[in-house]
Amino acid sequence: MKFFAFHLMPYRHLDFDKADAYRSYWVVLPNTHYDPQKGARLYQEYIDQLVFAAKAGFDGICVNEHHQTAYGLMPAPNLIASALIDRTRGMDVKIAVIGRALPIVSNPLTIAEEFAMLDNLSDGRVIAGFVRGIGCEYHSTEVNPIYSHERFHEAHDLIVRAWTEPGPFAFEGEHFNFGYVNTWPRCVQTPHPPIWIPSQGSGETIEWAAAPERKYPVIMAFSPVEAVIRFHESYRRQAETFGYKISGDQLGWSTPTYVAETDEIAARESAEHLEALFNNFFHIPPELLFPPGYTSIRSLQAMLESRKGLAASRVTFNDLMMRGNVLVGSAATVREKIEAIHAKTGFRIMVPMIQFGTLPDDLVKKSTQIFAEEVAPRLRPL
Amino acid sequence: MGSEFSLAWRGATIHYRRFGQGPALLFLRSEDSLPEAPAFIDSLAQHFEVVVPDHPGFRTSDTPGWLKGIGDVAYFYLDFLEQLDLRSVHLVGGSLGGWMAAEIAVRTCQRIATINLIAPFGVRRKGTPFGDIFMWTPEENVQHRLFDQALAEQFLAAARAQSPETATAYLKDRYAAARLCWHPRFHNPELERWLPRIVRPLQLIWGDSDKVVPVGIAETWRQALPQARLSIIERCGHLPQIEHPKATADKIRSFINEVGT
Repeated sequence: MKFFAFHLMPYRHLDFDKADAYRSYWVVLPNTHYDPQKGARLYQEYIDQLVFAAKAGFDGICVNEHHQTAYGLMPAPNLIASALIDRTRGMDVKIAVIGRALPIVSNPLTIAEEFAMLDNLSDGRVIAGFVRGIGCEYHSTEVNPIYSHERFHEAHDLIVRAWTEPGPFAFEGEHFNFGYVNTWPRCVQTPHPPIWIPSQGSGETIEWAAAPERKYPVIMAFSPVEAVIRFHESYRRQAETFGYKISGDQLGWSTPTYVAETDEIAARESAEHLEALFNNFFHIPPELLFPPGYTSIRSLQAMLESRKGLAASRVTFNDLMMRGNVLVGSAATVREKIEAIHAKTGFRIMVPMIQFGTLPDDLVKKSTQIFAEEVAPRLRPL
Repeated sequence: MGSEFSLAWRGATIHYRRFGQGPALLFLRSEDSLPEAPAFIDSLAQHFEVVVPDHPGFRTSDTPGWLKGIGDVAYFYLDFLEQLDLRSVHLVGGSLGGWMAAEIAVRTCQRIATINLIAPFGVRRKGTPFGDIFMWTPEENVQHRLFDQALAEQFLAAARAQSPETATAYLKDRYAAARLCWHPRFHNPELERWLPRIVRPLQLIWGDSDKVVPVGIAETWRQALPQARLSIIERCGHLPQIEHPKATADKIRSFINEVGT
């Protein structure tokens, strides 16, 4: 099993009482609630935390992309990746961007170029995650969500060709058209950096990622543990449908993770920060989260149904623990929970979110240290 | 209720209804999922044969593969007029339907006699933003469309008792509206440039308290079409055909009588 430390880089100094007055922490929360003095220090703190994880023994460190939100301060994640590459020079550590949102740009070639540059800068240590972005992104970019899937697939095809085919060549699509595709620099890794697909678990994603010509690792994020298991299971069945046996290297699980000396200490130290993540930073009404076309009407109805009652009340730490939305406990407890899921699905990519919500620096580092020393080493043989 | 018809055209079945008798009047309805405007249609049907289609992608009609943007709707309706052989048609459209009417008319007014646009999408006015119907909750989408909040509450009460079929219909209309309106938001930059191609009498009808398409946007239409008439309905939101059905129908009928056919 391999371990990747993940960070959202939230604006953890936000005044929740003020922010709660708005429709969402996304898109419409005025940026006057961001203090650049505090924010500038946060970037340093968060980059230090990821470098700390790399030095502590994680196989990789991960960033991701969101726009116009206090939930994550990385609208341009490849900029952070670039800083991380430099800070981990000479180390055998992957830099994973999970992921870049393909449909919301008008020129996906810039994404091909950026990753090719990162691959050169890191001498082949980059992992390229591709996502559609969450629904809010379609409000903040005004890209039509009706074409989200089409644009994702087309941009993906374009980027992979831009990485692998000798240029210049012409690309003729429905959404993207280029007379000259000729990416300088070319990628260091052959045929190209690994592509990972973070997902919230849609069936369409599994079917697409599992196709024999792709076999992309899918990282299941932000889901109750039962859903993660179900998702891994669907991927396995989908692979069988395609006529091959899945490898655990195709299955990932990302979840907010906190390890401490005992279960009780872990719960006490993490509870309020996890609640801040789920109740505050992730406060998104359905209109923002599921704009028309982002999902099929049927999926949307299923999701609205499953969210009934959720919006009305805050989730508590105990709710999150019961549903397995989060991974919290002593090193032994956390190890056992990971082992239990591995026993069921065979997954081999573990992506703990080492900081979440308002979790302060000292606790992030303490938990990350314990995870690296007491959790990861014993699970590596899995 | 009117009589139900359908047209199979280019791989899609499009449903429409006909009400009353008289000169042909094509009513292109708005994108909201509120109940039809029965009083409005009844008023018009006393003097006209009113044809009310479910737009491609909306309500009971199919969502054809060729439906990518507002231009596709315009060409579809030009075919529709030919297929039904409607001539000297009085074109009436509300909101998104008003935008459709304008897109039809800039292409050709050959089969059109007069045009009435009710708070249409289609052109913008910088500094006078549209309401964000895609950000609003279903409740806000009713409340912000109407001036009369007691009426809004009636619709909301009915919606709370709705069947799942209606909920699906609500989402279908919303998906179709997004397909046509998401970006550029509620307008087509080309349309404003070609509005002078509309060579038929045109009236704009607008509620004075419209939160979806603020009445200030009428100024853009008037600059492009100086001969157009602007009729304001007071104490009225985005849906005059629902809030003031008789007054709205009367304005349309008297405009048509006045400008002749």
